[in-house]
Amino acid sequence: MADAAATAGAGGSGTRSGSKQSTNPADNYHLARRRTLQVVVSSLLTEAGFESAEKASVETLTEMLQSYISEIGRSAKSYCEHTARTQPTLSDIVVTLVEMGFNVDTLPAYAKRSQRMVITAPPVTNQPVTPKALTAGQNRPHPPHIPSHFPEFPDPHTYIKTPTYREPVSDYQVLREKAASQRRDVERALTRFMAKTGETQSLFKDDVSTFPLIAARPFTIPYLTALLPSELEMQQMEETDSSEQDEQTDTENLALHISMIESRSVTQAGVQWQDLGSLQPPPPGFKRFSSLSLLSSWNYRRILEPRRRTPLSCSRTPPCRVAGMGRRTSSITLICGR
Amino acid sequence: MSCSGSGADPEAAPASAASAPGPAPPVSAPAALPSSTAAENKIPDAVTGYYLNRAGFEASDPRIIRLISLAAQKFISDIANDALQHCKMKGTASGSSRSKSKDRKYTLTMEDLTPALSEYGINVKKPHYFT
Repeated sequence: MADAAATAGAGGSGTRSGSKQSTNPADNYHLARRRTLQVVVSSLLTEAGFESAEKASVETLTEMLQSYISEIGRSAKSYCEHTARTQPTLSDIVVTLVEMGFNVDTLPAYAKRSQRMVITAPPVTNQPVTPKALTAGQNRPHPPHIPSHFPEFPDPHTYIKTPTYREPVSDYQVLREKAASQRRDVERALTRFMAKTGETQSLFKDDVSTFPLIAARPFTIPYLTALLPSELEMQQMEETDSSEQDEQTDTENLALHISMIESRSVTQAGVQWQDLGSLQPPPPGFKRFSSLSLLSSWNYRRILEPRRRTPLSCSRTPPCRVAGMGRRTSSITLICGR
Repeated sequence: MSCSGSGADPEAAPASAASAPGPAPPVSAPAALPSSTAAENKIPDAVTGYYLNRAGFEASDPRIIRLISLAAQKFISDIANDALQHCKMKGTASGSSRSKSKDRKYTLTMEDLTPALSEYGINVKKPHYFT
């Protein structure tokens, strides 16, 4: 066909419909091909002599071009299969073109037309390569049953669980050293604390604060600890005591447990001990345990309500027990704390 | 309309001229085949091949793909030329002594395209308004 004599201008080859970029890669491929066809249509229109075109016209022609190609393919395939073949040949295409009303004779002339615009291929963009600094670890290669066009495995740190703590040292020597140093630190800290808060004696006459030593307070009765039963025995005796409760007519029945304390509570016990002058005389049969009055290491650990229960006492009065007293009468009661 | 006898040969080589002993095949497409190279076609082979594959056509020879793309190009350019004729006719029908400005700027509109397509049997109807 004769082309228009007017030379095509460089610009204004046709409006291009701006299609929205979708995130689906399949849609992107489809749009890319569609856009290619649009470029082809625009260049053909420019060749024909048009300076510009309506968007609807370009869209129409693009759609027609795509349909034409698809129809040629479908029809050629049908002709091919109609003759019991599977591979389409040139003859099938020629038959198809003729059947579609295309004048095949004019093809060579068209191919050799003079005014041809060659569309340069779009530049090939390189695949985005993640820089080495961002990759962490080696991706696992594909096992043989997975084709290579499938995406790669993700980074190993996304699915491999790694503990974030360090393995504790289990070397015996190191552990012993660590335990020994910890123990020494604890002892040192505790002694320093007691030296700061309690009474101290100093090693040097003139320098008090350099090496403070905890003041040594020997017990008045050093052998008392050997006489009194241990904590465990006291608890056991408590339990047996509570099972046999009895009403008492004593007005004040208090109980108290004796335990060894630090030198700090000596003064406390001393103050409270002095207020015991208002005590009622103990019930008859109560043998005064004179040594207890001088005891300076008491600790009030439990305060019981009066007249509610029998005083659970420290049945640690083996001397009283030995003397044949009943358990209640030998209970030592003291007025307890404010 | 004459069709070439497509025999049972599955080769892609142009053998249509010698296959049928019937009427002389006027097909001159084989002549077009070796001349068309990939650079001359506007439509890339990949795009044409993609649309052909979607239709079920698997080409054995890339030259066949180029032939099809060439045929499609010609189809569109024929329509474009017809539309240009329509446009020029409208321009010169009103007045012959028109300045050259109109001739320089031809714009393809649907009013020109519709009659051009109707000659091919393709009816396009665009609505004038959107409901």
